[in-house]
Amino acid sequence: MQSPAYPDDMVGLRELVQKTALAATQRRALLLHTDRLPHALAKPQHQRLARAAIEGLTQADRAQPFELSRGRIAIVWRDRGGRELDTAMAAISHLLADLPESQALPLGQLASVYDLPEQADWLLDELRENSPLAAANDAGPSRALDIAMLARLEQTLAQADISRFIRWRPILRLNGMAQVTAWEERYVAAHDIAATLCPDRRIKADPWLFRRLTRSFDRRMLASMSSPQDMRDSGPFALNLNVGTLLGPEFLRFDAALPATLRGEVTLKLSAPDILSDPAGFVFARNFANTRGYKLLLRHGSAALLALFDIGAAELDYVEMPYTPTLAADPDSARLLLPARVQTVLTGATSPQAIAWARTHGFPLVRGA
Amino acid sequence: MSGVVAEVAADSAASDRALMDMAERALRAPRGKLALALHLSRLRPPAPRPHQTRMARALLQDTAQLHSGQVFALRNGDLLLLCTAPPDEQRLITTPSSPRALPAALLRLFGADIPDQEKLTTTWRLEDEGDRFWMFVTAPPGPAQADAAEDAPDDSGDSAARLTALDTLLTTSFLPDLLAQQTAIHLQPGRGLPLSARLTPLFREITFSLATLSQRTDIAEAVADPFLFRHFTKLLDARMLEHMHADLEQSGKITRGAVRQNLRLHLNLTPEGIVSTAFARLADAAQRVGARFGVEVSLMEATADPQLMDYARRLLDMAGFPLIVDGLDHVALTISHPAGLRPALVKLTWSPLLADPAPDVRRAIDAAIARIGPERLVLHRAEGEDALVWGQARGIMRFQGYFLDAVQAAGRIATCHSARACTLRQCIARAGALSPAIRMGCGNPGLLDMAPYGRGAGSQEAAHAVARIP
Repeated sequence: MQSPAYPDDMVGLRELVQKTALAATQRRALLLHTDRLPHALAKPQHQRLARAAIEGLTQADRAQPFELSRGRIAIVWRDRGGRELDTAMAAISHLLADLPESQALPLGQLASVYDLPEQADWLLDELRENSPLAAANDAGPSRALDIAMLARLEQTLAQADISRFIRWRPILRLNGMAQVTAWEERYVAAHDIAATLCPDRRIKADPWLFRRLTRSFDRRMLASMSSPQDMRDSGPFALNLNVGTLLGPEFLRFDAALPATLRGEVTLKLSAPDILSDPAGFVFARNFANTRGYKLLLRHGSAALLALFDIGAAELDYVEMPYTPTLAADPDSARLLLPARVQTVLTGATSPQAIAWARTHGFPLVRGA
Repeated sequence: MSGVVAEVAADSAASDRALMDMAERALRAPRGKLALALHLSRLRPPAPRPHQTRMARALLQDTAQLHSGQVFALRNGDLLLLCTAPPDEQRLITTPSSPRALPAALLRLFGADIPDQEKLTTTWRLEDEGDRFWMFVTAPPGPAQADAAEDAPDDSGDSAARLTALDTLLTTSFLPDLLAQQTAIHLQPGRGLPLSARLTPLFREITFSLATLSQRTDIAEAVADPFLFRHFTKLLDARMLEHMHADLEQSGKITRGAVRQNLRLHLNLTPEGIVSTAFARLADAAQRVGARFGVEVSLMEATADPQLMDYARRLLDMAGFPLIVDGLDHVALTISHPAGLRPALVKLTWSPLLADPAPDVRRAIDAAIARIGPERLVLHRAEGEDALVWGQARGIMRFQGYFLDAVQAAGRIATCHSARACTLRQCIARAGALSPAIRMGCGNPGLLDMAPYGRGAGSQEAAHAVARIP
């Protein structure tokens, strides 16, 4: 089979992904990491087979293929591409089935699928990690974060000042035609820390090791805010935290330093898998946070997550929901999943159209990026 | 009383004297003074966890700071606050740190952990109740409570070495040596029949044996940290799938018995494992030989990437492997909708806390059971008869745990011609192992995986047998 001639276009792909994020147009993307094919499948005919496996996807609605560095291919198309995608994944699985056990490679490592715009950040991260520039800077191949490196990072971060890696972004409150900053979200730029401390590692390769690492980020971020002077000029803000951090001594020091003017003005952002990792700890942390005047927000909300996680019973105050065409077409679908007291923070609403939509449909809190 | 906040540790006679001194001084001028004891020693284990003590202390110290007070940690783990209670009650009640608002705030924090909520705190207005307060202070202290280990991470190099050793062990060991199995049962109606005669095997779960792992390396940190635990679980997915595939195609040591008994084998997998090619190979082989598998996924994993889970769910449907959701404890049960994953079964981890919850928690638990349907619930880690009693009272008839292992072992011993020298504990251990080295101690290995289990073991006998196991 003749392999299709794709344009070599990393920049074009990045632009398209960013465009879908800005315009909130729904696309799917498949990234085929042919550079990860193990030795037994690294011959030219295997490369051709891998390309042929996903060729059917180019027939999907508005499909755009992109030829990337190191032989990798991405295809972006409209809608779900269910049948074409299933065929492609089955063909790739078939290719991998020939591998000897010692070189077994999970399907997810060879081909990853992203729902855009919700997962645009992930795809952009993946492209950034593997960009030619990053590759040129790396002495060795990009490797996954492992236990030994995690331990080294934790040791390094134990006393490190990470202030320069802390970023802010605004959450806007739409009030009529006006918009004001409701609060600012403070978060640690994980990739920037990784680029400094372990540039040859993909720190999100194992999501659970990455989650563990975020506890170190939490602690250092709280440490950077543990005197009243640090927060003297601050307005309302939100922090990404793990339940374990919320129960730790660093949070108590932060709480003790919180100026009275900010009491009741701070939102703590938690994620569902973290909550379910210690449900009793979460309930205690939630009650403590309520007693001390904090609001709680569920990160990474989606219809799929809310079908599994009872945000009302968990007594959280806010949920982040991405602005998607599905939501735009049927805003009540999200509201039906939520108790009236839970407020939605619409994420990914960057375009003027999205902001206008949020205004019209009663979503007063939006996060641009 | 001094306005300086000083928390006094309770591990020395000097600190006892400090408490006495403060109490005496307060009682000499009791007007407007108040004492509050937070009885952390009365909480149901595992409470008070270190963070609970730490945060309770922080709340009390906050009040102490605002109301010229002091906090004492007593020998039995209780905390005592001595402070002033200003007269303007209306104003005070509105702030959570006011002494009079504290009991309600503490009850909200600890209410789920104490059987009798009225016994969480004791408050004395020293002006009127000085005598009773003095009796409390001078009473012999309860049993000393060991300081709980701090739950901060171990940042030492030793921790890294231990975790790396575990990583190596899991990726290089002979897999069956690391595996354990446990048969869950469906309890059939049958009033008057011995318990073992009412058991029908439901499925057999293949898991990693924490007991075996802990004999070979230090796994405490990996087990205590859910994120590390999930990492190690993920590490084992591929090996488990490859091994089961090889077993189906070749020796059949693990899978053949289950096929013969038409018993479903449950594997614990991550969504990533389910979408891997190793899973597809196992599904193909299972279909060829007629082996029946179910896949257990923790709710925590499912919520980490609901879209991936949705894809994994479809692959399970295509393979004909039912999904079982596990990892639900009594709290997770009330804040989640596991039925959203359309599982065949949901495993609820037994805890004595299920038996005696606060009224609002009881209502939430009952509602969650009704939503899922008791016929879909398996009461997991049923280590004692109380779990069976609690489950049956709610229509739950599927159980898995050590108590059932003991009932089954008692049944086997009663019918086994080689069991004269066997102890119940040995029989349980051998049936639960997949390592040939452990199973070879049995003189009648064919019976270890067999069902039904025969006659002889009633609920009481099993309970007594379990009680005798060291």
